[in-house]
Amino acid sequence: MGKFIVKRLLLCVVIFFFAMFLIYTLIYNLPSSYVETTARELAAATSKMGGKTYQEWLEQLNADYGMNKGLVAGYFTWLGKALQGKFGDSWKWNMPCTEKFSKVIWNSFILGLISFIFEIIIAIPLGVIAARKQYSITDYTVTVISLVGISLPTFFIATVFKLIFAIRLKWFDIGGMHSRNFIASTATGWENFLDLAKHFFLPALTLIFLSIGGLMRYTRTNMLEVLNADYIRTARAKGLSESKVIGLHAFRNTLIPVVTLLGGTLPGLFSGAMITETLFSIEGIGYVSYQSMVGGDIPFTMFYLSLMSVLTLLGNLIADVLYAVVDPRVRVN
Amino acid sequence: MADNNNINLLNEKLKAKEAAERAKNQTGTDEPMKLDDAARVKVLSPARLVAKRFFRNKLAMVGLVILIILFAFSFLGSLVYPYSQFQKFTGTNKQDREYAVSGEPSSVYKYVIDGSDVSGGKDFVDSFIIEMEKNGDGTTSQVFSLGTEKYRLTKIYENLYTLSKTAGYAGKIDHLTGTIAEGTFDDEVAAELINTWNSRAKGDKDAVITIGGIEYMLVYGSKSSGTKIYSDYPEDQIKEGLLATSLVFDKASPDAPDISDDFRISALNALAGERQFTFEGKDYKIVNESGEELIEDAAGNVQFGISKYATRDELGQDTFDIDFKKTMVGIIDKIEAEGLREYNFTYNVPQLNPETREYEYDEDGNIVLQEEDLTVKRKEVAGEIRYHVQYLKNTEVYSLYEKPSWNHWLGTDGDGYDVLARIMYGGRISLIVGFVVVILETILGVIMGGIAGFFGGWVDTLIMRLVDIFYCIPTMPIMIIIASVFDKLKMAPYQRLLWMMGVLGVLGWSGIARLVRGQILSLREQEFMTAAEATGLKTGRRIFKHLVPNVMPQLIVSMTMGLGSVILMESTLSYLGLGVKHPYATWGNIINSVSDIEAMKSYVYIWLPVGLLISLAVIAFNFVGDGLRDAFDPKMKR
Repeated sequence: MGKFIVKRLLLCVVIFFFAMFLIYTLIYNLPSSYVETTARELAAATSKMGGKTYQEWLEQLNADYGMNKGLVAGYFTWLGKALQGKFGDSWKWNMPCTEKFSKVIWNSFILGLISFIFEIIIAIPLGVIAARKQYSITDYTVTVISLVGISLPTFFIATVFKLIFAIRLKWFDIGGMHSRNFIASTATGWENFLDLAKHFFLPALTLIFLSIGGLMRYTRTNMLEVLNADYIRTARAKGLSESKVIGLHAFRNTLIPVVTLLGGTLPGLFSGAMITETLFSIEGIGYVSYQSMVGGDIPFTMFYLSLMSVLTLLGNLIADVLYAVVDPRVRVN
Repeated sequence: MADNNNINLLNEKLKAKEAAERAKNQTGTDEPMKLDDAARVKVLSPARLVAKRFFRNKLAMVGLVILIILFAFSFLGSLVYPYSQFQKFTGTNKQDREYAVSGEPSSVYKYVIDGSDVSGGKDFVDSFIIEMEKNGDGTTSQVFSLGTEKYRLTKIYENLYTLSKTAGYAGKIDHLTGTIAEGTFDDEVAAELINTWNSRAKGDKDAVITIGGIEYMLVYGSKSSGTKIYSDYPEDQIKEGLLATSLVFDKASPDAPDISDDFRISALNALAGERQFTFEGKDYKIVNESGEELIEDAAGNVQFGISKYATRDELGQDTFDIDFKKTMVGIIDKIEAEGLREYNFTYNVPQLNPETREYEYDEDGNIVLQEEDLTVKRKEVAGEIRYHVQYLKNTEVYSLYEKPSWNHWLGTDGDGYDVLARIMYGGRISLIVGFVVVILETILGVIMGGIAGFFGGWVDTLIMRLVDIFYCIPTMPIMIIIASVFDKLKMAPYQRLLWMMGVLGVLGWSGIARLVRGQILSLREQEFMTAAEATGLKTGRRIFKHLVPNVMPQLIVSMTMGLGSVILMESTLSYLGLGVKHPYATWGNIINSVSDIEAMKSYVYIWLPVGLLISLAVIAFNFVGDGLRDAFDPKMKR
């Protein structure tokens, strides 16, 4: 087992190395006019506030990213710094990338966690029910809802929610983290929590709405597979009650792939929901990196892309390891 | 021979059986079919089996119907639909149009009489007039000193003044000789002037003395320049130097030629005097008609008008005929007398071509007149009173954000385009983008996956690691970066569209490669592949003719599902303004054009249908994909 994990980890490192090389190549080959224009705009925008000059920005980029060296040498310069956690100063936020990250990541994490929990609570039971009553109306409804859920564009469903809940019913604000009349200095912790909860409701609703479909289908498929297995027939044959058959024998076996899948999505809680956060102006990692990418903030973009790659790899790794751990039938080779 | 016999025997037996069956059918005695009767089993080809299973799936059929409708709507709809995607719609809108502005001129007109010198006083005429009128005691003549010069303003008629220079330079005393160096003076006057000059004290700058009722002014100067003498002019030497008036000359008709200043001077002089004059050999006389002074030639034709108020069009041009100006004078007098703020009247307004700014003529060469309701509004701005003549005019404007109507079922958008037409053409691009990207992905994926699966070993490892690498690169952020680079480079929309499809295809092949490789790994061990190898087929043929077709079911399913997700990706990018750009319409960028909060609130009829269409298309692709998966592999219910 340990050998397997070490092997997978090493493979992840290799993949990370090459994936980042590909991304670095992309950034490295950005038209120089693009980098220079962005740096100039940045210098023009910040010069009055005592910011860096155009030359300083470029020098800093070259120092941190080795843009003035050859592609390979530059990549190793960047990698060397990145492995030490030095991702340089963000152009857009004017602070180290890691500092900005630590400032906003918890917003993303909380949003992700809320929708993750609700997704599990809603999707898994529905999936199980649908599988138990295959080809019934319930099954069709669940199938349709899950297909619709994975089909709807985020921006559309977010806009519809905004129109209904924020504009027509006026229950929530259209976007942002706090109400207009919220004063952070005088608010108690409870008020702060309530205000945040109010603003996290719609984004969380959007995320839940969009994510339950996939999990529901996955649960249903696996439950169906388990229900068709011989040992379920055996369980029924020996006269177990239906609730025991489903709850003890079938569901626990269904959980194996489901837990594996969920484990794989855990690192995703740190990657933020770019579109949803942007649409609702939630200052999470997704929103911040969207702004950075659109604004040509190369350091933060590189940081975000490395983060995403690490999280994806980590997700796969966890899924694989969990699969081996949870299901004793899987023999690792 | 024996065989033939047998066959004949068999045929006869069959015929007999058929005849018996026919007889049975005719008599109607229906004997139940036996359980093991071969006719019970209907053998279908695998393809037909799949089709049958597919068509039985309700959800898949719903998806298929939606897709057919969407395709027909996008690709055939434009054949039936009357509007194109780039057709801008205009509508007429009643708007207040400024027809004319009247008012007293903000400064007086000055006509300098030839050969006179009033250059010093000319610029101050306005202030002289104001000063004299302010007295309010009916003075008609007043002398104003302007340094060493004097000017006399005389009112010769209502709003008509003459300005004459009454004092000025008369001579000079030379400091060296102590005598009059320039100018001619009577002896006593000269002596008195020299006396005054001699008795000047140090620091004196000037002295004023009056000799015989005439004022003299000495301005002491340096040795080289001498002392200058200024004096009043004798009354007989004073000439009218300038005519100043706030009266306005109106052309009798817009086409009349401009008038020379000399003519104006003659006319103004005549106005104050005998009301008739001769200019360049022609006789003119001035007639007053309801407030407007009309200059008529000998034949009685009105040549020009003189009035208190200038009436000009919105560009400040004198394009009105004399009748309208006369009417305006009457109206303004009425407004002032009754203290009105607004006055309505109707008038036959000549129709002006809005583009050429020329009058429109009918066949007979007459100006086209149309009776319009005109409104005069009195407005006072910075102490100046202006009378604005306005009328409601049907003006052609782009119909922006028009509400849904019978002409435009979904209204018009912010460019005046018909939303339904945009959605149709947008659907085309969205669907085409989906297909192109998916086909690109599939080609790449099949090639890479096919090679990896077939060769195995280090090739497989290498390609699969490449797949892992691509799998780990996040598509959306990369697309956003590339799009923002395109933005900065200001790439042309069409080029950008091609690039976007290319990049999406290159980023998306890893999933398909994995799928193809997995299938081929198991397929290549099967007997038919051994057979293919034994027949000595080339590797490429074995992969793409024998292995890949067997992966087709899974490929078709993943392509169908992929279509949905590419459309989703494209519309999200376009919604963020990073995908396909204006003027090309796609479903995403139609929503993007109304994405801010105000627009979102007001133009639900634009974004809601488009959003529903995107959702419907993706849902339909997923339904069909799901149905196909079930149909291809009934065991694998997903």
